[in-house]
Amino acid sequence: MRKFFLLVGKEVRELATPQVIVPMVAVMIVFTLIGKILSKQGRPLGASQAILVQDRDNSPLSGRVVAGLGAARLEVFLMEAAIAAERPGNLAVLVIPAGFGERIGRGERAEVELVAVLRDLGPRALASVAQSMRAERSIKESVSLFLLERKASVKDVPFLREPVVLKEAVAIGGAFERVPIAQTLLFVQSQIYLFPVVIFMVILLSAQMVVLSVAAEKENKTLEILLSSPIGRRTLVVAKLSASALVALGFTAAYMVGMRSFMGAVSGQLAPAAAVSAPYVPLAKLGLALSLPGYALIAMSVMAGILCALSVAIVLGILADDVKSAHAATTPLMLLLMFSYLLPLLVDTRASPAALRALLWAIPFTHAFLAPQHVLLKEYGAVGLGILYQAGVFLAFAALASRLFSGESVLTLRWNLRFWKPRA
Amino acid sequence: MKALRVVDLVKRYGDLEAVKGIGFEVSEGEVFALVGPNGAGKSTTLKICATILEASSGTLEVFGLDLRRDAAKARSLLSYLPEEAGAYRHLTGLQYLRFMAGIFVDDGDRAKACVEEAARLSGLGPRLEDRIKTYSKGMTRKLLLARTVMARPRLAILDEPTSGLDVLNAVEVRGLVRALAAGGMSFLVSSHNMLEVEFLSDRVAILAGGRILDCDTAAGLKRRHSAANLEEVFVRIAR
Repeated sequence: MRKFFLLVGKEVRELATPQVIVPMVAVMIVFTLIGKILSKQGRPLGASQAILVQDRDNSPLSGRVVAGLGAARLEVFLMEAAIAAERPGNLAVLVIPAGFGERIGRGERAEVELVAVLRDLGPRALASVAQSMRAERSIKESVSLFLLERKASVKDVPFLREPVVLKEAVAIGGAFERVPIAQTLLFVQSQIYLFPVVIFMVILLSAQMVVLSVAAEKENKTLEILLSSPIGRRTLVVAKLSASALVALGFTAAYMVGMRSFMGAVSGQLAPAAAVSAPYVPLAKLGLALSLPGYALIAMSVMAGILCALSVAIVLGILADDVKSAHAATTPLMLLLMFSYLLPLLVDTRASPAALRALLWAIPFTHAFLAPQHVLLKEYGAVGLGILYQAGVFLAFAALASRLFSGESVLTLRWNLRFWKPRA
Repeated sequence: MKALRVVDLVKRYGDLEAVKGIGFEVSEGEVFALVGPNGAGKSTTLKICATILEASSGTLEVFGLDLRRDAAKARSLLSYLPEEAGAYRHLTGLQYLRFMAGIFVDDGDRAKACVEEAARLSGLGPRLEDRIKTYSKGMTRKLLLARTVMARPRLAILDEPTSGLDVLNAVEVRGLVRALAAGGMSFLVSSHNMLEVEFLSDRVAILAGGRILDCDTAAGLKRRHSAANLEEVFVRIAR
């Protein structure tokens, strides 16, 4: 048994190196940080959701309907149409038309209109507006109860069950279409979730590939042979970046194909095939179906993000002594990537404090993660500025890598983890 | 013109002075060896001569080209073999030689001739068609040595060229170096194997603690220190 514990002790000492511990601690810090940001943002999902109500009927029944919304955990704000434009973020607007009470009183089905105004396509913002769909059930219950109190006839049961017809519409980027809100949100969410997963995987794999490549060249001394050869040092850096960008393109294509097929299958399970395919034409009118230029813009942003990661990864690879330490060298990149990937999924970035938004924008990968949202919202300027910023970061790190390669730093620079002293 | 001229070379890594003002010259067609124990400063000196490390101070010239000013030009005259270097494991031996010939030689026909020459010098025969990851340490070393000299550099810098080789392979490598030197190629070689150096080199510098303790032909050193071989010379100088 003593020998067994000797072996276990040896294995633990071999495995628990700074190269393993540093990334673990880093991941823990990132999640703690994101948790703290989430707790400061308040309003957990599932809390009451604001709904703006325009009551053009002003009848006792419409008043009853509005009161019922509050019981359905919807925070009601009565408003004039102009106020809607001033409220930030996504909105759910319920319009009760004039004559609503009269129609119901005559035993006729009445219409109400629920409009989802989409200004933020972040997953959390979409999830919030989805909760406004609770309004439909609440309205029907309120009207049915109202009718029962007025001793409605038993033969009117079908009317009692469905006294109100909900007309749904979505407004986005100046376009307005009568489309089912839930299906529209499902489609947008599938697009918004699909891209970040692909981008996260591609950037992480590409960066790891480059860090490992540089570290392996250092460890095998093939780099020393190339550095002493007549080939220009800048050419070495550009060749490495070009080759890894090509491979990253291959990664991107593979992941896009795989994820599209996966998301297609998942969407098909969530709703009948006809229901999913039916709203495609209206969605295109809303600008939610990505056009070729839209895809091209997103692809440019993603590629710029990948190039940023590759140029940073070359510098990190230079800091790695060998292949084993290459994993620890990737840690700073992984932290930034996780932060810029997870945070926009969990918080309303547009409603976040300016400092948090500045921090997110400073991370070049955030622009790639958010590019699909911006394109869908026709915020092309934001995508363009993001690409320019990413290009700047890429050029800065490529220049730094080139500078490190041109001197001896490529061989002598390394992480200093000397605070860690394993037992002899 | 000297193949290599080193004057008052100093190399510091932070507070550590690895090379403490050494100087030597290598003539054309000469095999010059730096010998000494581990940590003597041999590899550092070779890396500086191969232009991959920078001297803290001192003068270095390769065929009259100052390495501070004309390092890029000097790289077309020299070729460097690091100690215990590897090669790209997923390439075959032949693919590796073709790749390196493309790096060192611009002319396509000459590059092809270089590959043929390297294939012959390596002595690996049909195994050159196999991936390098299937090679033994000795085979990889022979491939790398053939790569180092295939473009006929005017100065070849070899760090422990026979390190890890068995006796037969080591003898082959020494014979190859001697034959190329006879053809006019200059060599700067490092080794901690003093008996090997005695056979291989025209002149020897004994290095310890970053300083050259003595420098002469092997015979001259033995005579001056009344020693039977270079190991004895080193022990006497070190004391």
